[in-house]
Amino acid sequence: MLESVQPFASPPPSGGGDGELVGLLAASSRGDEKAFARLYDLTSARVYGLVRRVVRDPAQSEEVAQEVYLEVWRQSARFDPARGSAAGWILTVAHRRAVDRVRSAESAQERDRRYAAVGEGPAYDVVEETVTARLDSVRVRRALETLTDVQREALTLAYFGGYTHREVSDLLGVPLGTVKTRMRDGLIRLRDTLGVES
Amino acid sequence: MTPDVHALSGAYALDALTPDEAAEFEQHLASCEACRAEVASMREASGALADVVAEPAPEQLRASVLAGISAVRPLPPESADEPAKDELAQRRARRAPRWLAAAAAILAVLAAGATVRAVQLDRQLQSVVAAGDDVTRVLTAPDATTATARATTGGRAAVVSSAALGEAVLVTDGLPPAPAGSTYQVWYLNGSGAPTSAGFVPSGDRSAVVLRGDLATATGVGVTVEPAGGSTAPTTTPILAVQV
Repeated sequence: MLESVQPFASPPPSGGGDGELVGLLAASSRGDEKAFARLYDLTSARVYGLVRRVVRDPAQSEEVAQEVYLEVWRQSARFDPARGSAAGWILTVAHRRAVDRVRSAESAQERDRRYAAVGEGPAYDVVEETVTARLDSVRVRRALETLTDVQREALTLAYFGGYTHREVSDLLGVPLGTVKTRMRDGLIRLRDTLGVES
Repeated sequence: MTPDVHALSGAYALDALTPDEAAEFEQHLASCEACRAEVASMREASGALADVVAEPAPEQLRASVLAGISAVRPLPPESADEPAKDELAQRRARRAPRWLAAAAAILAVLAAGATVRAVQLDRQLQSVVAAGDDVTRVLTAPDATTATARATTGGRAAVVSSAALGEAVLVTDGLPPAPAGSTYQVWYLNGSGAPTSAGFVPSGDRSAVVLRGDLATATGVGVTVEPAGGSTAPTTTPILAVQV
C-alpha cells in the first residue's frame, strides 16, 4: 500500500472577493453590525437561492435563511480561514440548515411527493432550468458537464434535493456503495475542474 | 468502524449522511487530517454549486436578519458555551506547540482505518515529542508532503519530506523490535545508483527520525534489517519502501 496525502491544509486562493468576506466575518465577531450588513449583501443571493432550492417553500426558505445568518453572526469568531474560504463556510452553514429543515419538517407523505417530483426528469434538469446568464454559474455549469451522469445526478440530488445517500441510491436505482463513490469522485472532479482547494 | 469510512467523505461534504452516520464520520475526522482536508476542499466545490441557483433574496429578509442579529451577541472564540471542553482546549493550546498538530496528523495517517481518540493520540505523541526539534522543523514545513506504507513485518511508516528544507523524516508506528543482534537501517533509494544509508530507525513502538543524505536525488526510502551497527549496502529485502 502506497499512498500520498497532503496532510497540511493550505489556505484557499481568496479569489472572488473572499478576502473581503474574511475581514467582514472578523469584524462581525467583534459586534460590527455594519460589516455584517455588507456580508449579507455579498452573500444573500447565494444563501437564499441555495436554501430556496432545497427547502422550496418561499416562506420557510426565508425563515431558514434568517436562521443561517443568525448562526453565521453568532459563530463568526469560530470561522478559521486556514480551513477554507469564508463563502464556503457560510454556504456550508446554509446547506446544513436547509437540509435539517426538509428532513425534520417533512412528513413521510410529503417526502414521497418530493421523490416523485424529482423522479420525473433527470436530476440535472433541476440545475439546468435555473441557469441564467450569470458568469459564475456558467463556469460551474461547465464543470458539472464534465461529470458522468451518475456523478452529476448523485451530487445534485444530494446537494439541491437534500436527499441522503440512501435516498439517492433508491432514487437512482444504484447500489449504495456506488452512490458513495460517485459522490466522492464527482466532488473531487468538480473541485479539480473549478480549481478550488482547501 | 467500517473499513471504507474514508469513502464517506463525499456524502458527508454534501450533508447526505444520517445524523448517526455523520456522528460516526466526525469521530473519524477528528483523527484523520487527510479526510479533514478532503472534506474542506469538497465543501469549496459544493459551495460553488450555489452560484448556479443564486437568486435575489426577498427585500424584507435583509431587515429581519439585521434586526435579529442586533438582539444577540456573537460568541467569543472557542467554546465558551461548553466550559469543560473549553478549559481542556485551552490547556491543550497552552502546552501544544504548533508542530504537535502536525505530528498528530502524521500519526493519524498511520492509524488510518482505526479510531484513535484524542487522549490516546496525546500519549502516542510523547515518543515523537522526544524526537526533538529537527523532526519538528520538517513536520511543520509549509511544503511538507507525506507518503505512507505498510511494513511486511507489520506496522506502518510515513515519510514526511520537505523539498524546501531538503530533509525528510521517517515516522514509524507498530514496527516489531528488530531481531536480536540486528537493527532497522534506512536507505535513500534512487532510480539508477546504489541505495545510500540514511540512518537507523530508533527503537520503540513509535519513532521519528530525520534522515541523513540527499533528499533531492532520492526517489524513495526503504528500510532493511541489517546486522547491528549497520551495513554499507542493503543485505536483505526491504521490509518497507516508500516513494518520495
